[in-house]
Amino acid sequence: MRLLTKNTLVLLTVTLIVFLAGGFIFYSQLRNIMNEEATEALSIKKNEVEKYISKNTRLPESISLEELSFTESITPIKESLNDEMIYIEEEKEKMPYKKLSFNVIFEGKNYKCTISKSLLETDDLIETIFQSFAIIIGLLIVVFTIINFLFSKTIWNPFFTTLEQINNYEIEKHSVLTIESNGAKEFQQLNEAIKKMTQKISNDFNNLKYFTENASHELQTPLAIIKSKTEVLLQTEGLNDDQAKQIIEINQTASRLSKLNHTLLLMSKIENNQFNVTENLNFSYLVTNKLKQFEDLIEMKQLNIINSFDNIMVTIHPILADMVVSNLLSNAIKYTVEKGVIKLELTTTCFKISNHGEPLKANGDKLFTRFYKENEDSSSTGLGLALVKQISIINKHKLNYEYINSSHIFTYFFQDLK
Amino acid sequence: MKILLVEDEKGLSDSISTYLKREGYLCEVVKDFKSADEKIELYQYDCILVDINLPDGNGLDLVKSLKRLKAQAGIIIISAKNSVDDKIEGLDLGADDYLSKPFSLAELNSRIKSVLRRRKFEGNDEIIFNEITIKPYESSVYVKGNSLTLTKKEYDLILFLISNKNRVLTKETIADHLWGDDMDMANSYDFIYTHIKNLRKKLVDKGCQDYMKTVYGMGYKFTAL
Repeated sequence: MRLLTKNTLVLLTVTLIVFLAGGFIFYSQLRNIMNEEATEALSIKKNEVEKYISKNTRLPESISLEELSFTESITPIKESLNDEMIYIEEEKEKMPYKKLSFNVIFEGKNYKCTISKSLLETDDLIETIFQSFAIIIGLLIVVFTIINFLFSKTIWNPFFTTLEQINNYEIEKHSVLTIESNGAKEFQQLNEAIKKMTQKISNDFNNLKYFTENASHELQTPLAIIKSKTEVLLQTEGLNDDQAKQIIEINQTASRLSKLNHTLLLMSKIENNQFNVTENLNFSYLVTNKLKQFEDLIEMKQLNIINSFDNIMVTIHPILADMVVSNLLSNAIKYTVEKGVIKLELTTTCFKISNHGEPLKANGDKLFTRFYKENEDSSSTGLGLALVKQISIINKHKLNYEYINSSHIFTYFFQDLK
Repeated sequence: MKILLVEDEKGLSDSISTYLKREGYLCEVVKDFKSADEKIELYQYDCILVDINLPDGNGLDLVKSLKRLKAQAGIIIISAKNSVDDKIEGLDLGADDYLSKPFSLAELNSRIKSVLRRRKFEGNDEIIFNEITIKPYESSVYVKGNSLTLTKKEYDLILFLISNKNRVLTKETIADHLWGDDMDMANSYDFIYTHIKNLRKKLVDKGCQDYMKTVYGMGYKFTAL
């Protein structure tokens, strides 16, 4: 629900409640006043009746039955005042009346005198007042809503500007988000807070970036020393087989560590969106080139490559595209049995690569987790597919894995088709 | 051949200079930018190996100085950063090659030789190893004067082996040289065996002596001994 709608609804509810309560109080006050008025009028009438009796030697004539009546009674009655509904012939319905009954003594006899006063006027008045009240409420609600909707556009304008800028914020492009605002004070506060926050985010981001890169580069130098030392050592005369084997293992492990380090650095760079410059790249050309590069491995495993290519242009960073093709292809080559078949398919929507092979031991999704290794093959970093996945995420592409008819199928979609 | 090595890490510069000295080069080592800058002003070198990150300066500035001095030396940048931008910048400034750490000494040696060939002999020299002659300018190999038909990889392999003759080369070093490091595959070591076998057969068929020795458990060695 929009804030404006919410706001309006709350205000309307509150207005309605206040008006209802106010109306009720107003009504009871008015009712009381009218009641008192009627009572007072009746008591004035009573005085008139008593005066009349004392001056004249007859009972006053009742103008109408409702207004004044005398009934003989044996014992004197107590004075009483009550409201009653009396049926009126002409209107054919009951009408509200106020009745005052009291005792008069005339010629030594007790009479019960009753004066009635119609309350119809009072009810009419209250009704009219309530009608006006309802019209006022209605008008107020309509005007209020219209004004709210009309002005909200102007009032909320700075907010939407801010929102748009936050949405477009990219940490590597704009380090700090400064939004000019001439709106309400709250929006200025919001913009100020955003400025501070992005400042901090940007600082942290840069620190982390530099730290990761520096740490990663600093690691390469000691590794280079280890590797070079083992190489010098290998040239020593008179090494026995076992010694040589150990030295080579040291050398290989250092290489592995270096490769791992390099890949992790690459991943963090990708995550930090440092490869955000895209270009329109001839993907088919890239795939053809990669196949040429892997030619030896393909030939030696006597693999059969079936490809169906369209001439496809994809907007992507060239290095990332290279990594996608390289990793998927080398993965397929690695896991295809000798003399097996690798199928490559390139269309406008996707790059699909499939190869025959045994089903996976683990769930397909696990393939894309970092450091996951299907076989305990120590030469693999377990990062290749995670890297491709990462690339697909930051490019808003999609990487999919399926196992159909004993084929592993990796599909890299150039759009995220949801 | 005089080589200047500009590298602040003693461990690495020691290994490199040991390796290069055994190769017959005269190798001078400096540890910082300032002394490197002085050296290149005063002396002539055939090849200069420059680390980008020096304690008191950027190795790329040395490349600029060398270009300003119109030095004839070949320049190879060695860097801990495997960064495409650095590589492009270095090569644009006039460096001949770029190696990212960690690299194998055999690889460095082969790159130095290739740079020297291009610089010193304008690519017109021939590499002669007994009855084998390699003409790098036409990418061809001759055995006793007869041309040998090799694939691209076999040619790269024999050039690499002869560049590092009398040394043990591990399968990994050879694989890295032939396929680059994005060939992340253990199996590729087996493929080297196939390449070696094919190359050996082609050489022997032309009446060449078998110089390719398998060093058990270690790798291969190209030697006349």
